[in-house]
Amino acid sequence: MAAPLAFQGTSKHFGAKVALDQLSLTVERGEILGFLGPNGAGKTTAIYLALGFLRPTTGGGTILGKQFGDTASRAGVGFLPDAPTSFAATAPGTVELAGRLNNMRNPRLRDRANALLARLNLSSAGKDARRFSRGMQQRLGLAQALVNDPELLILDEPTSALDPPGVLEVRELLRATRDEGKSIFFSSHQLSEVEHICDRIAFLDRGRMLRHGPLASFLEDSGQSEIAIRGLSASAEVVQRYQPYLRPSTDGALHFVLPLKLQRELIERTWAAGGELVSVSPLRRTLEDLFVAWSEEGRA
Amino acid sequence: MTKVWLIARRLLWQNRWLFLMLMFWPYVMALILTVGGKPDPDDVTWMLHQECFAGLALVAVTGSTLLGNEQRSRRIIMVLSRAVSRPQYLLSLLATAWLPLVLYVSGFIVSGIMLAAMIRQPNRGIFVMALAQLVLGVWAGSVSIFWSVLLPQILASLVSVACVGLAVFVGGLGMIGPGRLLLALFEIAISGHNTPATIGIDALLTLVGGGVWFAAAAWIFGRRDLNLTAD
Repeated sequence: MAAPLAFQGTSKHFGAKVALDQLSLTVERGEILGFLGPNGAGKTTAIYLALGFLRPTTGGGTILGKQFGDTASRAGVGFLPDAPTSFAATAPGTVELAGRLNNMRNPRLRDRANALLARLNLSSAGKDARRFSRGMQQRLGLAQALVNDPELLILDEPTSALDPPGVLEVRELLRATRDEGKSIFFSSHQLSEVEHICDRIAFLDRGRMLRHGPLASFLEDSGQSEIAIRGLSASAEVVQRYQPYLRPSTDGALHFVLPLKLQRELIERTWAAGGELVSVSPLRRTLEDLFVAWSEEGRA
Repeated sequence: MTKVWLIARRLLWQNRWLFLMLMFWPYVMALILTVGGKPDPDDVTWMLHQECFAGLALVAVTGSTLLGNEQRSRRIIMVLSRAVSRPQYLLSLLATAWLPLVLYVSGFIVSGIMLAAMIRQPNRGIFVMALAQLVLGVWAGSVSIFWSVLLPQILASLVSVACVGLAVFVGGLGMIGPGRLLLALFEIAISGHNTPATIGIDALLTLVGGGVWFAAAAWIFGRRDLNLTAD
């Protein structure tokens, strides 16, 4: 069975500017793929290409097994833009319009719209959706994206305007959607959010994909560990030797952050000098560290 | 067609106050004409012809600005990310530009009948003008949507209204279709006198012409990127 979303060497040029360069990426069934990158990396361009708002300069791709831009296939897609907009209508009217444009009919449509609005705390929202706060509009946009029970969800910054309880609600909703076997293509700058819910990530910079793979594999091993020791003065030979790896601390212990290959050597020298080993902790990388490192790599 | 109507209904609702004001425009004009007593028949005819042009200009300006507005507000994303094709979307814009003309023409008919009664003339010409307006409205709407796909809003409006004017000119040269129908529209008397025998075929050709402009617009729009940044 074809992947719900596949970019196949997709490029997009705006005049001389290359917005997307030979992107090849698939979103598999039942996974949440985080699409990361600095501003101007080409994330929104990729989303617009998938939805047929833009036409690729070269290459192409498929969405739910059909070429990008296929009208019928969009009935199985839910899309939340970074800044959702709506016509002058109530929250239920706005969600029902999205459903009807995706070939849904009442009473199923009305039931599903009401259930989603209740889940997203919009049941008692005011009359005109255009006057909602940005956070409410984002939740309303999510209800619109989910109303047709899509096979593939494409979300552009889905939690950027939400308060912490709203973020938690949406996180749970997305996990539940994934657990139902749906696929989610998730573009975000909120790295903690990506760390919480994404199975895989793809990192884009200046239109080029620099990394992609399971999130855990990027985070689990930083190649460094933190070692805390006591019982040695700052002038001790071993401390002087590893001075470049010494980190400030307030607990009275000396904390070293150093590559794994130096770990054993430091421990043995500490013991030999009469020091006491307090702890050895492998360091886990954060997505923020990776983001910064990859962005610098992209610039270089 | 259901989706076309769903979208057009929302767009019409967005601009409801403007369209309702325009609906009353023929009544306001009739009131101005009759405020001094019984109006002069020539003045009434002239006013009705002006209203016909205003009605078509309304369609042309509305049709040429809708796409730009929707792209700038990004509401177009909300619609085209669903199972809506680009021709369906353009058709909803055409409906949004044309349907207010129905309201406007209803005011034109009622106020025209009242004026015809005041000057004691038969009112058959009012109905012929109304029908010609509605047919030409489809053509003018299609022309304006064609230009809105290619040009920024202001230019598209100017070119669309210019196309209506140009059609009157080529109608004067004897070209059949919308040109000759426009010319006939501006020559028909309140009584229906001067209605050309070819008006039926010209109306049909005008609808076909509107269809061709619309098909060209849909073909081009389906092959272009949406303009989501400017206008």
